[in-house]
Amino acid sequence: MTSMTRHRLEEAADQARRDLAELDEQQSTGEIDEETGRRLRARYLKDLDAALQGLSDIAKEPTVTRSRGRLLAGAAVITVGIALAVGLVGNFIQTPDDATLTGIASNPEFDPDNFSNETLEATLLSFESNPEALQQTMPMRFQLAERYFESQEFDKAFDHYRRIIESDPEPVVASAALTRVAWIVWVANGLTDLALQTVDQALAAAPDSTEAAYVKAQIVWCGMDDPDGAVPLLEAVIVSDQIDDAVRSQVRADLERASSGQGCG
Amino acid sequence: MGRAVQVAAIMAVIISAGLAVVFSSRFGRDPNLVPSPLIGQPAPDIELPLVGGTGTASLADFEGEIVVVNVFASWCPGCRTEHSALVSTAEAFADAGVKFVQIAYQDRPEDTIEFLEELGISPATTYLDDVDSRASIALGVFGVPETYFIDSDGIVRGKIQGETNALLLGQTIDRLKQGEEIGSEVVGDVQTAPSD
Repeated sequence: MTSMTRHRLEEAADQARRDLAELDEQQSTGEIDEETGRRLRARYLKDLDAALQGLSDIAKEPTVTRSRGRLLAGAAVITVGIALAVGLVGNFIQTPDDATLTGIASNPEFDPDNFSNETLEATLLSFESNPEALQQTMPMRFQLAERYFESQEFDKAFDHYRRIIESDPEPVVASAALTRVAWIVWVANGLTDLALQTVDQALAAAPDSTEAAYVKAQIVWCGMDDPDGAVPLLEAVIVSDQIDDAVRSQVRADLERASSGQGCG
Repeated sequence: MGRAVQVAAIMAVIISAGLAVVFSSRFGRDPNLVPSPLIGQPAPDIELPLVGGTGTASLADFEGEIVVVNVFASWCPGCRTEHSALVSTAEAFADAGVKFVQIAYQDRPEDTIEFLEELGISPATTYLDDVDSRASIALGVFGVPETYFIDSDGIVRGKIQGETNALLLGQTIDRLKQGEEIGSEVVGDVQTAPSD
């Protein structure tokens, strides 16, 4: 892959982000109706995702050296929102009384622990020719992606998050997937700037996302060595009602260290 | 304790609490179990011609691997419906020590080929033609579709009678790999002839 290709992909990603920002503004002023906005957002997210995919392919080998503990900690951090995300996915497609395979696969109470990765892959593959049913299996896809993510099979996780983003999900789901993509391109591929831009998209989709804010704080603090930049993000995380007292205590300790200009390590 | 470990531990608490609520129920298995005399017996070793080509293959060729044997026909609506699940499951398990064999039952070769070309051919599956019904008789096929599960020692461990799907196929393979008893499951009707 040449530097020219990387440059082209970065430009494509930047353009998609600009389009999304402009769309946000147009929607906030009522210049674009909801349906048009939804359609355009899906297109821009798809463009962004294609660019991210290309950039991810460029950097398959890890280019940053981080401790295993740091990597595992970060991976755990950004699964904070999974219960919320999967629950919400289920809420808008819920078919709890549906005994068909689609119904089972779309049920948010479906327990992936009873099935191997191969079984979940097979089930998702079997819906490829049925876009409507495929959409309903998003909870299963999200859970499979999480499983790959937690086992650090980032290439496989990335593919499933990409499919989720492409499916024009609810903003909170798009945000969760984008947050994980940001983590992958940062930790696995060492693309700090791209990771920052991606997590910004996650925050644009769901401004109240605690996990996106926390990941952005990590990227800013650890990836960009900018403790001052991390402070307002950590302050936002501390006041979130999505964390308990123990987590709040940890974030408070982070905040104290960042506020005093210390590094994150 | 390092800071990274602390963060991981805290997040694990949040995750486990959330997941416990969201995924608190379990997907159950089909309760319609029926006995099958073939369960627990060695799989029949019958050599059959490959569909649409030269050469032959037998179930013994796959010794040491789990083998899923699906018996189908182009004239069977349930076989059409389940075919994509067989293709996707074969591909998903291709690197997991599982082989798929599909045997055409009382079908004209040209119809079998047309069926496969229309609905999909998996490179991970061996397609055989039961030209004189020897395999169907040996397996005790009642109608189509039927799917048999053979362990890596060549013993028939399970059977699904009726139209299956990827989740059920995969779950059954998972159970077999874990050494669980499978038995027979009836998940739908089967057809014995095109006129049914």
